[in-house]
Amino acid sequence: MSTLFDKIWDAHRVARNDAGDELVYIDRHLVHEVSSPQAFTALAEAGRGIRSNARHIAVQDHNVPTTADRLSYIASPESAAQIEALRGNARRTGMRLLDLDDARQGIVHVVAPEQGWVLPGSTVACGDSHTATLGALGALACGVGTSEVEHLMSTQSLWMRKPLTLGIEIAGTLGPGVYAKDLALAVIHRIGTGGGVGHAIEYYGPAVRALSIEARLTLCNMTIEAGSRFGLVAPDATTIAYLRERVKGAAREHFDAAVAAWAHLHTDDPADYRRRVAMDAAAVVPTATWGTTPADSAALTGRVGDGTPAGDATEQERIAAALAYMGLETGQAMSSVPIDIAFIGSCTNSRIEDLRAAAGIVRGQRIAAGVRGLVVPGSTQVKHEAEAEGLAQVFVDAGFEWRESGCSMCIGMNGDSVGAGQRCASTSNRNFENRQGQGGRTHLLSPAAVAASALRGRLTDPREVMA
Amino acid sequence: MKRSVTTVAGHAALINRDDIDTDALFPAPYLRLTQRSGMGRYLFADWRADARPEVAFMQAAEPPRFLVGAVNFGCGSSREQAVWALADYGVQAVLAMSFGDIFRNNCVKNDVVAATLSPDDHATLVKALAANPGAELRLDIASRTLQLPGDLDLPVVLAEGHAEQLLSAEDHIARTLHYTDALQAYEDRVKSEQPWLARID
Repeated sequence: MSTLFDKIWDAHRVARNDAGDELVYIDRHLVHEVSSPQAFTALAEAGRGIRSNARHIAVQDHNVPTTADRLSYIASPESAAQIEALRGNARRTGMRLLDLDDARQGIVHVVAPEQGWVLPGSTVACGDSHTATLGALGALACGVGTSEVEHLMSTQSLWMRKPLTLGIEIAGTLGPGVYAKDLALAVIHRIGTGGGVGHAIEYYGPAVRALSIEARLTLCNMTIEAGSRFGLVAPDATTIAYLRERVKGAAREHFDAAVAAWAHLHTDDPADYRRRVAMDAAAVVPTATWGTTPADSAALTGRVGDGTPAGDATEQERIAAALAYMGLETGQAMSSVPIDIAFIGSCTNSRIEDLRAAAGIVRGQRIAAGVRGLVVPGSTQVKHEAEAEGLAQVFVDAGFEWRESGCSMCIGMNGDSVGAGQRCASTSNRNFENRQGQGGRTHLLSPAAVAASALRGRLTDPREVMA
Repeated sequence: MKRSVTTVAGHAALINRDDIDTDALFPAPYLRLTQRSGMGRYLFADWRADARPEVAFMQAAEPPRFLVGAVNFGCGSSREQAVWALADYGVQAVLAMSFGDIFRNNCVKNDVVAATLSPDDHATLVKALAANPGAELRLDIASRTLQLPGDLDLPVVLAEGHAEQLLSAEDHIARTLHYTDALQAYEDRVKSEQPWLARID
């Protein structure tokens, strides 16, 4: 009897050392321009090559401008240099690259599932902590540092200590206006930012089964914010249907055999998890963060600090500092908080379903005066899809900027950033101090809630606008 | 070049705050740099620009060898620049009650010790540092012991395997290349049994 995580891990274990570390084979390595240059340099300096080039693919995302003229002009010389470095490294090593002009370009965690590269039962790594996203397809996917990127290119494997497993069972059904993002924030609020440290989290139960793959990607994306490197969902009919229309090459050719092999990819008994947490989707409501960690959240109809334990002196100090940074007070109504920017994008919430949900809210309306609205599709493919469906026009008519794909204002490396003292309702994943720009204030919400907040000019429960 | 790390000795700086994330340790704008060296000048850059009291220790001429955090130190982004900056600045060991997993792995890859203390022992250390901020600490990797002045020893925990990596003088890729046959065997097996995993198409 074992868990889904154990089954995939054990199938990929190549060796074990005296210290108890295990060498795990990594089937797929995704590369982007920020965490790879030093790895390529170190490999070249050591005279080492790439072990298995067919298992790596590089995508430009963090530094990529979202302006229409990005193919001809990049304002930041440092960003341009980093993008050029990946081009040069790809050329030199023969690694495949989705460059800015590629029709598949986008945020690596959006592109990889969209292109059918992530398969159930596979192992995936990337020099980006949000790689946990890809566990939504029943894969072991984790973020690594640059030294591990180098190790991975050279050996196609990683030394890791097998984590314990945490099963999070989510019963019930999400109500109208409540999304995977709200569920992710509820999970982090429940177990804390360090609640998953040393553990792989598997999400299961009826509410998880009912989620689309896009919603599962959102849920798994935020796993790292609960301290866990791995988040995963067992593959099912939804997963197979999603992949059937996306896989190419060998995976398409052998698809039926693969589906048959995936049948055992589930946890045999919930008692197999080392720890378990039970939650009820019906109790989850539209949520936003008010502080500077993703655990600092409250209902949009509630008040700042609701449901947050007072904690010890260190925690009280942390919360006081967070509120001072955010310019808020405990007990203040969440709906009283005005916003300057509404950002829809990032590897958490920039997929077509996210854009449909947001467009459904703003259709036929205008965003509030003084609010800057920004919609950044997660990939060029999502962008084209949204344009074909008329969603882009809905956003433009409502007063949003409609942009090219990239990481954009989630991390603010590409020129899209939140100014000092500005307040942003954001679909991204991190509300750390200075995350979206020095002195910027970030509230994390679902796409529908960001859209509603843009219309009202303040943090807004999307149900208020839908009603 | 990999060196063998057996002990860390020196004074400590305390940031007694939970969830010190890697965005704080190394702000995003400097991630555009493509080198590995010289990153110490960007350590806590935003916090220093804001003259935050937590990083007042960085005004001293002599960098601390130890940084003492609290819970979930190094959470968030996988950026290894956070560790390169700590190491370049002069920090050789980070002590906390828990760490972000990726950060802890990044530490060992760069010969920075990431050691955890129990909450009680952490409280003892914080109290000792409050009484004597310049106290010299000594961490012995093999015995996992942190010596405080006054003959007080506290046990620390390293992630399994990390002590061996620190003590070893062989780099991590060279160690793995001993397993080339096992890697090849995996690849051969996948090619015949699960051809859909053998390449990204």
